[in-house]
Amino acid sequence: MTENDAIKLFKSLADKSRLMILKSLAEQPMYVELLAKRLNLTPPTISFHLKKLEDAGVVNSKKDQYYTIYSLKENILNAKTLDIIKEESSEKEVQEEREEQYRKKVIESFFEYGKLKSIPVQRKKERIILEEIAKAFEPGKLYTEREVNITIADYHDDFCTLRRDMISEKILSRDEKGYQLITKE
Amino acid sequence: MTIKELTLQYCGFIEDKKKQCTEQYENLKKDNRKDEADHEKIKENICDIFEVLFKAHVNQLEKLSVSEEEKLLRLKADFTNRFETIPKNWIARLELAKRHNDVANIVIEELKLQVAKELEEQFIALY
Repeated sequence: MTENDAIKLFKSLADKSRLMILKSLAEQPMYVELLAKRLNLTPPTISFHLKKLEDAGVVNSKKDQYYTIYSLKENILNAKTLDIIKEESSEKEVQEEREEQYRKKVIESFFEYGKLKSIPVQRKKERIILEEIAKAFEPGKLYTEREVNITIADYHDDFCTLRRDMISEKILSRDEKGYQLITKE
Repeated sequence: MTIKELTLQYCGFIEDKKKQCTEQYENLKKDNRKDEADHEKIKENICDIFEVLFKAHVNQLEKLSVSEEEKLLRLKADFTNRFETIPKNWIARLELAKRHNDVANIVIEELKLQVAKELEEQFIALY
């Protein structure tokens, strides 16, 4: 478990409503409406907390006909707190995690539901969003300009700027045959 | 009823609602329910938005040299219209959040719409 995962886990537990939900789930798996009734909270509030618990990896969900049944993910909860705290990361891992966090933050602020809200002005940030868009391209596949435009247009209307920037950032290559994703060695 | 009386009653209602939200916010925070406390802050912000808009409409109408009855009618039309225009964006965001099963934003947008509806109903009830 990374430090960020540990923080997410502890944050998810540091809330009385979420603790009550976990106590109920410790008795037996339950669905939202039942938890809402038991804890005297509204179903949307319960769903909100369950999402946080699910993201932190404390809770599992399973579709069962009309309902989604939630249960405890016992392996995480059975882990010793001291073991989680003691878990050490190397300097390289810490650096990688920091970079990943920054990347995630940029993606979260510039994308909304898979659409790019605006093109970042800062080059470092733009590089991150271009790399994110590049995930839509298959390595080794040759694309026509039209295909590249259509793929990028799924993210943002200004596909021309983004296409050109992907070339200048050496994310895509262009020659007489067409466009191709540049894969890292 | 005069516009002054209506303003007193409606702003009184909004102020009470805001006070309730603040109290709930404090209580939930003390009870270690920070996320739910934040939802109360959102509700208070929505009250703030409509209070400011309401006062702006009243101020504009007070400058006009028309009858009190006409002012009340115009206020009803203008301010009711705000309950159509302002939440439009929230409805769009709610639909988007629902399409992506984004539970956190579904809860927030529904909360905003619920407060707006309550404020609208209270406003109409005053006439």
